[in-house]
Parts: sequence; structure tokens; C-alpha cells
Amino acid sequence: MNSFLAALDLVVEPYTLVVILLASVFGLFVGAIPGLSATMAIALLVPFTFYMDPVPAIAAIVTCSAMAITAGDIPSALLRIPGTPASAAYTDEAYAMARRGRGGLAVVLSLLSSSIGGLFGFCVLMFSAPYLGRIGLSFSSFEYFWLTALGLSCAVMINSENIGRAVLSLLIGLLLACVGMDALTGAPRLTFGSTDLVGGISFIPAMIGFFALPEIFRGLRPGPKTQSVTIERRPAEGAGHLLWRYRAGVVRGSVLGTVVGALPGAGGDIAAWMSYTMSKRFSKEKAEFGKGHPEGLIEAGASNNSALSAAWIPAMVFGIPGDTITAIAIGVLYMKGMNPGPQLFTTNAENYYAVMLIFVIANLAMIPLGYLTLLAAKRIFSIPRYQLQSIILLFCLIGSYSINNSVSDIILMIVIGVFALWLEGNRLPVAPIILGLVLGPLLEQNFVTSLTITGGDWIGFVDRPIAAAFAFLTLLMWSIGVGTALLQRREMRDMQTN
Amino acid sequence: MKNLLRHDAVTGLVLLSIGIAVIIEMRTSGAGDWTIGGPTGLPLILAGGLLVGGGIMLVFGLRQVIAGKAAARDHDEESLDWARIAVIIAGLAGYALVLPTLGFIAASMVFLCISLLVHGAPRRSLLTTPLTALATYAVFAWLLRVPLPAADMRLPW
Repeated sequence: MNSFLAALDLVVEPYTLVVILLASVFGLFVGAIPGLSATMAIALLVPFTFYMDPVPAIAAIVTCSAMAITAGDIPSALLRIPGTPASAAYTDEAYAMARRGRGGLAVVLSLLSSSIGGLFGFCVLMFSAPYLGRIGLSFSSFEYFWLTALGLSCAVMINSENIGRAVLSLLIGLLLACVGMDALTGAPRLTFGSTDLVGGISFIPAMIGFFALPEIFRGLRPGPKTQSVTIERRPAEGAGHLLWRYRAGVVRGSVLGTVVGALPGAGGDIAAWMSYTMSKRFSKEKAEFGKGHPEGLIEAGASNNSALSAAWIPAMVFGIPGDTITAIAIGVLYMKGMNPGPQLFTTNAENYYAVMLIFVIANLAMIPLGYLTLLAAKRIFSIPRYQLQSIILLFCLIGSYSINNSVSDIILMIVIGVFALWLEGNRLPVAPIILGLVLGPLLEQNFVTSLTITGGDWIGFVDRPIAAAFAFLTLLMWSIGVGTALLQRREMRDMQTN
Repeated sequence: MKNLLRHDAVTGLVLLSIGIAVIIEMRTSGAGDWTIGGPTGLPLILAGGLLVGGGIMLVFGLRQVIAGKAAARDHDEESLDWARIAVIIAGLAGYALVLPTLGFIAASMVFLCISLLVHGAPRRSLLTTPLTALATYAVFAWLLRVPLPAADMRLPW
């Protein structure tokens, strides 16, 4: 209790509160700019933390990351430019809402569900971090392989209307993930002689190319001079009712996000995609998904942010980063003498509790500050369409260039943009490609490691109970997905013949 | 031509071509052995998947052609303005080429002019491009410390 009160003293210091406010504004600003990621916001913030005390430094990182990720949902919903791979899971749904004139509501729902998910993740982190962390550490390459396979399966099953095309998209995504040096042997693969591709496909240019450019190309049609997507006058109207209506999804997303986020390396990416798929599976309005239905958005939003909070479990307890943001944060922890590990709870208990309290403040401040950012975005949307589209294109160029300070990333973005336009024209979904690109390296690395451990014995992949459970779930998901698709096809054929 | 590009047969053919290109690249690059756990294992499995999937799409597409049926198309996709898209793509590629030489501000001004004209903006709006480029530079380079290239106008002689 004394540690908790000492932590409260540390957090309510005016200096810490000012740092939290400034980091929030900075995170919202960077996150809301299309093409700039939360990771970039954190990387830009780190030099400033050199001059801060431990608690304000970690407060800046925690708050900025939460705000940037949440603000990334604004261009995601209004411009179809996802801020993170996790938010790519529900980008199309949010954008479809925006096209139906409910873009503001999509952002508000995302804000609220993210906040609830984040607070849920915090509660779990507060009370069960050491236990969950221990479970996470018991995971070997076998469990991770099947967990990744399960995540990838979700990307396919989202498109249950046409599983075949979704599988082909996933194969393309996994192939793109193979480009560059092989992680185990260092051999260059699929570079086609280009040195620019040796480092692999950069994620930000790929995401801009897959999501933003096709949308901008489609916007080139002669039409109204204002933006086709508008924000309603009262964006929050009906948000509370919808959250209550889909409360089961919020709980389910928060629980799943926390469990998956607590696993080192798994992060929110898998969690958000799995939650979106689960939401669709359990929904009573399956047919509405993909047309601007808030249910999946709410569940995946909650999952995304609870995973973000839970990713701090392996980071704080064992010093193992759950994602890139916590990897940077661990560096800051070490720099400030708050070495992560079990001793953090005994030798530095007040600092540990202070970080927990900052989580609460960040997740609560997210709602009003995010709402203000949305109102600012509303003003931006009153700019004539030709101006706005041109500025967005310029931001896309900067976002792609600034990742590696390389013009080859701009070329990559253009090539992917044209490819994505062609894919969408042929009803090949781009969402599985993104997940394939993100999870491909994880899948391959764990597959090869597992194969090496078992000496080529495939039974070894399902020898461990948790691995076997994940394998069963993956196969079950495929069976249900393929079975449903076959049934739907038969029903359609029967309807046509009748 | 537009309809042909969106036909399942052509889609299948493109996917087949990607699969074949991957196999040829893996054979010629000498990335390693052809075992499943080796560096070429996953790309080859994926290429195989694309060959099978693309092949099936090609066959179904050809059957549609023979039966005189067209693939279902999205009306929204039909009305893309390909000429404008081509100009924007050329503008983006041109931006990438001139960025190291002209620097961020000048290259962005040129690109914004192209983009505004393609988007059908009134000519007077071109006057805003220097201000937009400068403001963007100020935000990214000075405020966010994103290193953006300056002009490198050294003559080659």
C-alpha cells in the first residue's frame, strides 16, 4: 500500500502531468498523420526522455504510444490508411462506415472500445502480470507456430464469401514476407538482383500502397469538390447505445487481446484480426460485416488496445518485448535504471505502480483528447477535395520515404499501390496480404526452429498440449470455414436452379 | 481491355506467372538447398500454391469465356479514370527520381502542382503549392525531426 501511495505521489507531480499532456498531444498529432506510425512517434520521443526522471520518461512513452495508436484510427476510418497492422483488421469496416456518413461514429466507437480494452488490459497487468508472464514464457516455437497459423487463418476466414481468393491473397502476402535476407541463413531471397530489396519489404510503404493509394486512385474520378467521406455533426451520438448492444464483443475482444498480447512477440496484430473474425463468427448480423457494421470494429478495437497494455506484461516481468514499442520502452527502462524483471516488483515497486497508474490516465485521457482530434480532423475535411487529396499524397510520399530515408521505398509504395488496385479489381482481398506480410517471418522462423528441434518429425508439432490445442483450433477453423463456404455455394446453386 | 484485365482467366495467368517467376528466381539466385526447412522451402511451397490456385482460376476463367459468360464485376471499378491515374503514378515516380537532386521543397512543389491539376483544381490554387511545401517541411523536418533531403544541385562538371 505504501508503494502504491508513493507511486501516486510520483504520478500527480505537476511535471509528470505536463509530460503526460504533451506526450498525448504529440502522440495524437503524429498518429493522426497518414503514413506516420506509433513506432515512429516513440522513436522521435526517445531523445527527449534522456533528460527526464524515470517515471515521467516512461509516462511519455506509455501515453504517446497509446495516443498514437488510437489516433491512427482516424486516418484509418476516414482515409483508409491504417495506423498500425492491428488497425488494418478493421480499416475497411470503419471506412465503409465513413462512406455511409458515419465516419465520426466509427472513430468514437474505436476510441471508446480502445479505452475499455486498454483499462481491462491494465487491470490484468496490475494483478496477474507475473502469472501471465510465466505462462507466456512456457511457450515454445511449437506453440508460437500454431498461434501464428491460427492468426493467419483468421485473415482468410474473414472473407468467408470467397475463401479461395483470400487464400491466394494470403499466399501473396507470405511471399512478400519472404523477400529479403533469410533470418536463419542470411541468404538473400526473391530480391531479383535488387540490393534495395535485401532488407525486405518495408511495412509502412506496403501498408500505404495497399490501402491508401487505391483509394486515392479511385478518388480521381470527376465528382464533387468536397471529400466523399464526411464527419457527422454529432459523431458521438448513439455510440453508448452501440457499445452496450455489443458489450459481449467488448468483453470477448478485451480478454482475447490481453491473452494474445501477453505472449511475447505475438502482440496486438494477431489479437485484432482474431477478434474481428470471432466477432463475425458469433454475430447475428454476419451479412452486415464489410458494409460498415460497427460490431467487428468495437470488438477488434477493444482487443487491439488490451493487447497493447498486455504487451507490457512480458516487457515488465521478463524484459521481453511484446512488440516494437515495448522494445523501445525496455531500452528506456534500462536507461533509467528500472531494469525489467521480477525484482522490479520488490526493489522498484513504486515505479512499477506508477507505470500502472499512467496506463489508467492515458486510457482515460484518450477519450476527450481523441474526440478533440476528431473535431480538428472535421475542420480538415472541409478543405476542398483536390487540396486534401494532394496533401495526403504528399504525406504518403513522406511516410514511405522517412522509414529508411530511401526513394526505393517510394517506388515500392507505387508498385504496391498499382498492384493493390489490380487485386481489388479482381476481388482479391488485400487484408490477408497485410497479415501475411506481418506474420510471415514469425511463422517461418517458428516452423524452421520446430522442425530443427523435432529433427523433421511432424508429430512433434502437436506433442505439447497447448500446441495441440492451437493446432486443433486452426484445423477446426479451416473445416468450419470451408464447410460453410461449400454450403453457401450449394444454396446459391439451388436458388439459381429454382 | 479493362474488362480483360479483370477477367478470372487473366488473374489466374498473372498468379501463375508470379509462381513461375518465384521458382525461376529461387533456382537462379542460389539461395540455398531445396529442403522444406531451408531458405527456399517456404517460397517454393507458396509458389506452388499460387501455381495451383492460379491454374484453377485460369481454367474456370477459360470455361467462362467458352460459355460466353463474363466474370462478375464491380460497377464502382468500371468508372476508374485511368488517364488521371497514369499521370499521378508518373508524378509519384518522377518525385522519387528528382527528390535527391531537387530536394524536398522543390520536388514537393512540382508534385503538388501536378496533383492539383490532375484533381481538377482551379489554376489559382497552384499559388498555394510553395506555402504547402514549406509548411509540410517545417512540420516534418523541424518539428518532428524527420530528415528530409535538401537540394543537391551540384553540376556534374
